[in-house]
Amino acid sequence: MIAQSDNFRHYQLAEDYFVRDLNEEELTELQQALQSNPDLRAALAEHARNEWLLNHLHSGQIPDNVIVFPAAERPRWPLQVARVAAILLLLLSAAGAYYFTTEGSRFNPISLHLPKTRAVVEEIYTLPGDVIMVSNGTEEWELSAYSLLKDGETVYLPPGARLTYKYRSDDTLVHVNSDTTLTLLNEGGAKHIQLDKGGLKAEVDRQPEGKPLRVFTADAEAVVLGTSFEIFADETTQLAVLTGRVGFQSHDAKNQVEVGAGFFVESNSDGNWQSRPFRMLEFQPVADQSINETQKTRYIAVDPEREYSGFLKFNLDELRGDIVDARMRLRVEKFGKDHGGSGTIRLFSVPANTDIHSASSAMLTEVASYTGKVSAGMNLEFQVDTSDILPGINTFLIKLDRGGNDFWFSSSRGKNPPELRLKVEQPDTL
Amino acid sequence: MTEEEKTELLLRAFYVDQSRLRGYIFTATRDYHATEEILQSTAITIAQKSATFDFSKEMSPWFSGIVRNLILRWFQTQGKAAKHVSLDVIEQCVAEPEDFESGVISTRQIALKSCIQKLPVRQRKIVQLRYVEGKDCSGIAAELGRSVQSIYALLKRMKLELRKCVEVQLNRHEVAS
Repeated sequence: MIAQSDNFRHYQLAEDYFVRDLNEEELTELQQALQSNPDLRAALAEHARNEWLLNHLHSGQIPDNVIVFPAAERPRWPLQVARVAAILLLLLSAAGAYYFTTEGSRFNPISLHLPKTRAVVEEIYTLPGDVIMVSNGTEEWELSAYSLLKDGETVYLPPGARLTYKYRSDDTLVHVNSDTTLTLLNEGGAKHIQLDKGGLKAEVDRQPEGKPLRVFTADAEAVVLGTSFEIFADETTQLAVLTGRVGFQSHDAKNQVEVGAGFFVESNSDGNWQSRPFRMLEFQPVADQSINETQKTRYIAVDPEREYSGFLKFNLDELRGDIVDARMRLRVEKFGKDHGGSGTIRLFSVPANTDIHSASSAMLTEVASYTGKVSAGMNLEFQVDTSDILPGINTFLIKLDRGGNDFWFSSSRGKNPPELRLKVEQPDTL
Repeated sequence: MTEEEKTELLLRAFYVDQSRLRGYIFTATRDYHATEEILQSTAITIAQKSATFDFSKEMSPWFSGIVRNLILRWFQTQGKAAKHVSLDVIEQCVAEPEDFESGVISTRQIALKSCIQKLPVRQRKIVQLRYVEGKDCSGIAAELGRSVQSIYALLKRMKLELRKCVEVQLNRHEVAS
């Protein structure tokens, strides 16, 4: 009995060791117990690991030039069940809303001032175990499929997450990128979005006269009456208009430009905000395979232990005009029991004439990297510096740092070939 | 073997052993930033002393020796009495090197992140104060107007809840995959 209570006390001390400073007697007691009890040593190591992880979690960052996002897929049956449940929920919400605007408001006038529901979540995706959080300034909660979003609520998408929401008043759809923070706002009935970081793509329905949708970033704002566009906010703001027209201006209105469909603009400090025409070009590799792995041709395998790395060659002979944005997209595939990869994966450019045999000795220039875990079925997208892309042949290697867990990407012979997606400024001659 | 080759060989071995050493340092110091600093100093010391290393011996005990000296020096510079379990015992405890892998976002880390977001607001505030603002228990107690003892209890309860939540999520993840 005494031994049992001592034992309990030792486990308590092992836990306390990471909460407070133990006194001399307690330390001596814990130490003696640790020397004779391997289970207690394992418990101390577990507490150490948990405490370290809590610290580590609040210190890590993922680099800005890499986006992880799920591949677009048709909803599967659990989502369809959720859809039915959500419709029921919406009907119940509508019934509740009717009550509050008729009976309820008589007894509780404050309810009239509650923020109105602005939008409904259409689609949501996060990495396993991850969540999208919403905050209204006083409370925080987890966003789920078919949640309602209200004015003044801030949505935090972690890396790897994706969200599509639809405004209730019309058919405006907003597709929010991974690692984005935005707040829904309402100014006299107009839709406003404060984009603090990250990016979004919006398909904007025709807006009421005098009430355009506006997207605010740190240095600019986009004013939209009805169009589709992509906007990204980091140190500058980049806007690409796909259809319609978007007004783009600095907050002090000193810089103003109207951007039409197929045009691109970037805010900059020199005040020269000119929209430039662009077109989207998508290239698939003319050659791609694994180095040191020749059997599984539908995959590009990257594994430091077996010295597998990826080899990709793109032919950009048709490229004309300056590149304004370049992204390489790779689909992570399931291979055997492997459901994804983890570690630091690096994308290198190598001299154009490098072939599969000379690749291992080629001069490498790192163009992007990503550290983390990516599950099968997700896209890994590297934002490539546009100066690293040239007309003609462009050759790349993909390597995983030692200690990483192997990645299997789809090759061009697989279901989801790699893609190099370029936004290219249209030359005047075209 | 040239000096450069020796250094490279040792640093490669250090990289492989890094997670175990990180666990060792953290268990002694219980200070995240000190752990990273000491680990960095270890790499520098290894590079500086690579010429003196006897390559007929194992590298791991040599790394541990360097780490031990740096931990003791850190306690001296902090002006703190070294209130840690004996370093020999700590070395025996930290057996699972991947537990302290900083370059990989592990399933456990993702689960923990999700579990933190599910904590009640008051407990999340404590996470913020302790792990983001780096306050100790008396600092948290002062901030929240509570006794230090109650903060100990709150922290332990919060960590227990997180532990349970993470295990549930990891089990779910295993079943799913």
